Amino acid sequence: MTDDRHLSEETVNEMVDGALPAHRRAEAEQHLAACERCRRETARLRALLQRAGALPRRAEPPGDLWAGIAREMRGPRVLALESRAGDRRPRWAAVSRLAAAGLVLASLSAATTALILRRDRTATVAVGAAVVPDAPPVALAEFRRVEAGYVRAADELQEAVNARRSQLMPETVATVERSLAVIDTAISEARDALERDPGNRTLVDMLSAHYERKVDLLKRTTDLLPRS
Amino acid sequence: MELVRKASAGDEAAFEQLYREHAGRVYALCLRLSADSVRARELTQDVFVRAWEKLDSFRGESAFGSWLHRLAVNLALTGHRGDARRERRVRTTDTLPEVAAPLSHGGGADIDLERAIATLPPGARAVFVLYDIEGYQHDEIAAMIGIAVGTSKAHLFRARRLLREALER
Repeated sequence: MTDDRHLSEETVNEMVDGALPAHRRAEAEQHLAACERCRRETARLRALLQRAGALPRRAEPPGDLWAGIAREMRGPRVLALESRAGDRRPRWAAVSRLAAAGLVLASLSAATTALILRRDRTATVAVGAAVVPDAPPVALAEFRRVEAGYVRAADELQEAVNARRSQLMPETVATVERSLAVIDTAISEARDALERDPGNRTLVDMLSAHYERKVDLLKRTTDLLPRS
Repeated sequence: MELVRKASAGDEAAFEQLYREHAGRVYALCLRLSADSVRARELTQDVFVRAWEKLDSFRGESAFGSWLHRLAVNLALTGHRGDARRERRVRTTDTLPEVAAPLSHGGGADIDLERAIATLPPGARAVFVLYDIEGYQHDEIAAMIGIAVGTSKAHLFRARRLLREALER
């Protein structure tokens, strides 16, 4: 149970978890009474577990995921502009949510630099919340407004990264560039497919998700930059 | 149980109500397990779609929430819906030393701890989340993830050590 002088990590953990058999617990407690270092280790571990136990067990998903879930429940592929039985929400409401999504993206774009400096991590969540899981049925023409917002946000973040890329580790830059290349390829493929099938709601979802991943990756990259 | 019974019979409104009741817990779990907000949303959607498909197999021996949670853990940890492109994305972006901090936007949230959890290696993170936050036992975790009980304990102790080091830096 102990090395020459102290309780092992396993013993401290099992003691804190109440998983030590009685005889080993008594032995450990006897050791603790005499060893300040092990008492300190035990106290640190208990403090961590107290913090973990106080973490919230619920977090509402950003945006309402129900519409996307309902769509998948009804079938794997639903054409965008079809009127669907069972869809309780009127189409105008869905379109106005898309417009709101566009506004959120526009605001995000304008405020991107400030958000980076403040390290406000809600920005990316806002993008996803507004568009991806609960986007309304849209055609390519309607999606273009949203797409423009994604592109602006990504461009601003990319500029921020480019301006200070020398402050990043070369390995990090290489990793980011490889990831961006993968995402850009995915965007390009989804974009081409949507041009060919402009009413396809699944492709709109897919393209939105790819853009969001790009913004998320760039945002994470800017988070790696040292504070100026 | 009435809602579950109705949903099992194909009542979509009843299932939507179940979603409203349980989405917060499921999303929090998915977010902590994946440390990726995009993936967490996808997983949450997958969990409820899968639950809808599998409601017939829910016998009511456990609470619906517990059943749903196990479904979420299974999906989150078994790479459901993974495709080559996503796997490449995860591999490349997860090598970044800093990842999205889950659940850090609520009032009074322990942001430092959430961020530290998000940076744990996946195995250690999964066991820490399931044992120390969700309250599962090692034998349950071992069965869900498909590892030995001893491995589950090793992951947990490592996670706790890494978290203490990260938080005390």
